[in-house]
Amino acid sequence: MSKRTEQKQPLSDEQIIELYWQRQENAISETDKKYGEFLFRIAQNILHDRSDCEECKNDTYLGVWNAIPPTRPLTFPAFLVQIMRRIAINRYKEKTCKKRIPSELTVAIEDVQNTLQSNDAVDVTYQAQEVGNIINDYVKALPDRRRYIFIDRFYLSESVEAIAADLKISPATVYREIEKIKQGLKLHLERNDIFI
Amino acid sequence: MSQELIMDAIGYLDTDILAEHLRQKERLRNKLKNKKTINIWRWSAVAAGIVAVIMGAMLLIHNQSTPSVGNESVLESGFKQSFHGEESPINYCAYRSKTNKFDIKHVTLDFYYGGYYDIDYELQNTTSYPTFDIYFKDDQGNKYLVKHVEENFVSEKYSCDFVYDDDRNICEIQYNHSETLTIPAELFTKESGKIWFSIEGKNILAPETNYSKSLVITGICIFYKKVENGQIVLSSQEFD
Repeated sequence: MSKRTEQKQPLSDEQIIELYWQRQENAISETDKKYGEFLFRIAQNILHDRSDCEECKNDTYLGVWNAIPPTRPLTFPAFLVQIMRRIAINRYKEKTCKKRIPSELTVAIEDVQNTLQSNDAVDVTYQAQEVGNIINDYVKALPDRRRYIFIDRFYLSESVEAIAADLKISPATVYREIEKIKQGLKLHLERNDIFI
Repeated sequence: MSQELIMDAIGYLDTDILAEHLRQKERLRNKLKNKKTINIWRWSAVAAGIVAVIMGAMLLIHNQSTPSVGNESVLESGFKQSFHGEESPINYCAYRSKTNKFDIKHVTLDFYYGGYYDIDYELQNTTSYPTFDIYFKDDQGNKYLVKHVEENFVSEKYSCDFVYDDDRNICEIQYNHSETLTIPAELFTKESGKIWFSIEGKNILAPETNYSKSLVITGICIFYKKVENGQIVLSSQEFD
């Protein structure tokens, strides 16, 4: 293989993580080359503003630079996505504060919220991590296709049309599956003493 | 439960589950990319063949003495539907003809129909039409049975595919199945009106609700207007 061809090949995740450990500055450019577009899209699903998305992407790279070392993530893409999502949602919260901004995240979360409406007394009792653990158990037990839809829609805030295209099903089928996911989630939360 | 709590709770998604999901997503996206590449080569070859056929046909038509019956404009509907979100149907149909003017006794079109399914999943869980009927119906309530089909509508044979644009919007529907059918003259009862091409069947997996009692799987409307000399003009849109 020629050197030119070698340079065009993206580095493996292990190679990129090693660059961070060696404090090589090209760690960030290699990360951007391999994952930049995907990370940008996650931010865009949540924020829908190009400059906000670019800032979130840069903040993500800074977050990764600061985290590695000492962290050595076992799954680099998941590690990046977790950081990006957290940063994008924090930016989203800053922006929405008092007013609504159009966002796939807003639509997706409101969709679940309408199913899980309850009084505020419940909110103060449960912390996010507790509820998150319960939701994890629910997601693990979902059939493959519903799990895919749940994560794409509610974690990555992908549009219904994009999910339908990935799974080669109609958007109407995705909506039907989302309805079933929501009803199942409601039942699962009730079984764990989160009543609605 | 507050929106913020839900957002934060979902953020605690297990890392292994997320990692597996991202791998699966990449596999699905790569499959789609490869399919588009193959399709480009395939359709280039098809396009070259079609150009050759058209050139030959044009030469043939130029030499013919028999005048054509009607306009050479294409009549079609149901191949480019725009719909969004929950409005998007699962089953589709369409029609096409090289002419829009016919002798009333020979109104013959190519009809296309099918569903966009994850076939194995649907047949096991939600949707199965083990038999179905094809009808033409007028707007007076008259119904003409074209045929009864002893095959499951939810199948590869009666499936369709979507063509997406760069923004991942559906811009075209491609059908696996089509057939040439003649609309019976007795359905054209008025000077102008509409005819429905309708596929009907019972979903044996659907729960019994008022909605599921409707037997229409899919359908499409054709507008007609009678003109001189026992001829009829068709359109995909209502005549003024």
